[in-house]
Amino acid sequence: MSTRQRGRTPTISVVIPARNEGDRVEQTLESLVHARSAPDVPAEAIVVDDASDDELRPRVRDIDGLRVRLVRLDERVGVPRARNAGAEAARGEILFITDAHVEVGRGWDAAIVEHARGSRILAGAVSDPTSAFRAFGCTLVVPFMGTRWLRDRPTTLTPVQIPSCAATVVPRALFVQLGGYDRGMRLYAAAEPEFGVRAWLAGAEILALPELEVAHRFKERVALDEFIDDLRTSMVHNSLRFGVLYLSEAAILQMLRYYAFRYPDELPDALEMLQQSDVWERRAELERTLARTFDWFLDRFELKDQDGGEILR
Amino acid sequence: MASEDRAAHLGRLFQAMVDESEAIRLLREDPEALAKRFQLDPRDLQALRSADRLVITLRGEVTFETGSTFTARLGRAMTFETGTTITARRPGEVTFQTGTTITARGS
Repeated sequence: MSTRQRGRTPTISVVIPARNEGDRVEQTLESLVHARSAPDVPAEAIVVDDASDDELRPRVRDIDGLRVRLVRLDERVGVPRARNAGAEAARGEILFITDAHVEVGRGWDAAIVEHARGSRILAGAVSDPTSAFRAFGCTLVVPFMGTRWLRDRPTTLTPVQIPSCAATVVPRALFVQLGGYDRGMRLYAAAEPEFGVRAWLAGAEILALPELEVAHRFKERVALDEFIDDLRTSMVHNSLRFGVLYLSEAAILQMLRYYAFRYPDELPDALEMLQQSDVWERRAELERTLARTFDWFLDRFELKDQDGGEILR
Repeated sequence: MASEDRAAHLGRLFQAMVDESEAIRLLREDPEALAKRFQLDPRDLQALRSADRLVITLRGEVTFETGSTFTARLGRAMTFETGTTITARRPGEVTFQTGTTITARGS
């Protein structure tokens, strides 16, 4: 039974982290309004300004029944923690976590309300408006601890490993119960797969909702390279953190040496960040508290390592 | 060794990497020496060594022709040893599919 069928129509809170997005946020908000097919479903949008430069701060206003609120962060915290801030400010029962530079497909509100459930996370489809690219969530890449896009269209409510960051639907109560995105993650990378894995291990499920379409404006190669250059050390840190939290000891060592080859320049600083963090305590905490083990996740999705071999357990 | 002890053991190894830059060099280039220095057990050394098959290493001189596409897919890391010369005759890219074996002459 959907949340709607159980009685009062739930409110959807759209969470939009934004840093230096300027006018694009307003375009995203307009897209949300224009693509609604169930205007009786209450909705709000929470825009989280992740300490944008003054000239690129998002401008927001209520648009045609969509109440828009702005949460301004004084210090840059990165996408995962900005999303957490948005979720904390949200008042709706269902969070629709997306990005600031997207155009949502028609009927997003009806699709969400029809399929949202208590312990269910929904993974929408993400497309690129400039190409034929379309993906329906992600799969985990071990021991790199990154993701690959899931390109084959699944049927509705097929289990998927990891929801796309731009199209994640999660009941707010479940988000709170899970503790949101890992607060130990730095600015960028690994937070979404970590959240997905943790959700599965906590007993929740992640199911495909291809009817929820989000056209995402991907950065062009040069802009992406520049963007990542500034964040590479935090990306390496986050991926290592993700691995340390869940992998077997043997797989952690394999990952560590792999990173020594792949990111030799960033590894020293990333390791220092890691050692200054709570990562080992957090690993122990997750071992104590999660209902399922990481081996369960590997078995559930019959995962192989990134080269097609057995994952070290 | 209990799970928590193993984690503590790994934590100490990670800290050694932070404290001694030489340890990171050994991690990459000489895992046997690293294992000896930090008293890792044979299982640990085997785990470190298992990363070798995830990495492609190029030595010597590699030339990419115009119009080539050069992409290291997620499956492997691509590393170039010191002294490797890589020349793209004109701006372009070369793609190596996962599982490709690359041999550079003159190593």
